[in-house]
Order: sequence, then structure tokens, then C-alpha cells
Amino acid sequence: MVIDFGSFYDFPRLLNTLLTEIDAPSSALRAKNHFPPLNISETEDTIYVKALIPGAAIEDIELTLSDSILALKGEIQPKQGRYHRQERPTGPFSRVVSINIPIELDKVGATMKNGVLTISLPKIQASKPRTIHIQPK
Amino acid sequence: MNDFCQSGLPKVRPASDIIEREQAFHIYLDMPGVSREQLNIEVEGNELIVSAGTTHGVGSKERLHSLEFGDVQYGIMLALSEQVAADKIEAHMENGVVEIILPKQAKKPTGRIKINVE
Repeated sequence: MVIDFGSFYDFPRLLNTLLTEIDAPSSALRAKNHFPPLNISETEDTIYVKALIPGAAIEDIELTLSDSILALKGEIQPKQGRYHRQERPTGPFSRVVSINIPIELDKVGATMKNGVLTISLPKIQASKPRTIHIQPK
Repeated sequence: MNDFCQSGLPKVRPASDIIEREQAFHIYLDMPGVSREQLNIEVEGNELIVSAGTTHGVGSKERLHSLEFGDVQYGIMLALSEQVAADKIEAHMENGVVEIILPKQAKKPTGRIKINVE
């Protein structure tokens, strides 16, 4: 095997690019390709999942929570008429979020305001970290 | 337009659809997180300017696990054609989508010049 280390042979740089691409957290890239974009946050007793879904009414969105997996599905219908420009996403969409904390299923709530869907998932009391006081003897 | 230029938030041109129907042109702009009060629509000359900021309000008490969107300043400028009746423009907002209706008006007769070829 002959390896050409001439100036046109850019192996180290190419290898480096490849390794950075493998290594780099692709979440930023993924966020671009995935619709709708999600923000996931947590307070002491609730997990919040927020999604930007402009053009969808709450009845167009289907939410299911099973086996600690939250699935968000829906469809945005295209508008009628002659399109001169189309940039807004249309068609079916879905996102799946795994929630690895037990959730109080009866108290899960979802609200929609100005195209922002907010899902609140209250944690089961037992799963909250509790401080244990140690008694000195 | 001034707040569009001065705001420190990232500036984003909203995804837009332009649809022609019999009576009017309809422009749809995806602006999730914008309330009616924050929305600003102006016509300057033959330009339609739409701008608004969002307030998603990422709470300081919350611990963030994944962040795929944040507050932005939306802004878009669209040129109006002569076919549009600028004084009859209407706008609606529903589910984070702004709909702007630009009614058509009778085409002004364009000055057609006949050139004779000698």
C-alpha cells in the first residue's frame, strides 16, 4: 500500500473533520430537521415539554403517554389556493420523548397558546428526592 | 420597524406562504409565541413590514434538559404589487400563524406602446 503524503493529500484534515463530525453533539443539527422543536425543562415537582407547532389547533394534536414514553403526533393541513411561495411545514409530524421518571398520569395537562404547546407532567411524589435527617446518637 | 432593528434577540424571518385566491392574496406567517399585542404590521410605501418579538419565558426556576427554541425577534418585509388594494389589507392571528389578506384591485391599465418596425 502506498500512502501519498503530498500536499494534495489531505488525509489528516479529512480524518479530523470526520472525527469531529462523529464526536460533535448533533443536537443542534437534529433540532433543525425535527419538527416541532421541543424544549424540555423540569422543576421540583413537574416536567414541562414545550413545542412550537404554529398552525395546529389543540384538536389536531394527539398526545400519548405510555411506558414512560411521551409521543406527540399531528398533522398540519396545507391551505387551499394557488401557492406562490411555500415555506411553512405541512403534513404529518411526530416527536417522541422518553421520560424516565414516574408520572402522575391523571394530572398530566396540556395547553396551547399562540402556537406553543405546553405539556405538564407532574412527578409522582415518591420519585421526588427526599432529605433524610440523620440523628446523632 | 425600529424595535426590529434595536432588539438584542436573534432576528428570524418567519416561514411564509403566499397563496393566491380569487379575491385576494393570502400571506401566512409562522410566528409561534407571539401574542396579538406584540404583533406589529405596517405598510410603508409599497412595502409590508411585519415584526414581533416572542416571550417564551424560560423560567429561572426550571432546570433545562433540552433547548431547541428560544426567544427571537421575527421580522419580514414584503413588496406589494400594484394589484393589491393597500387600504383594504386585513390581518388575523390564530394558533401562532398570522394571516394577512391583501385584496386584489382592478388592474390599472398599463401603458402599452406599439412600436412599428420599419
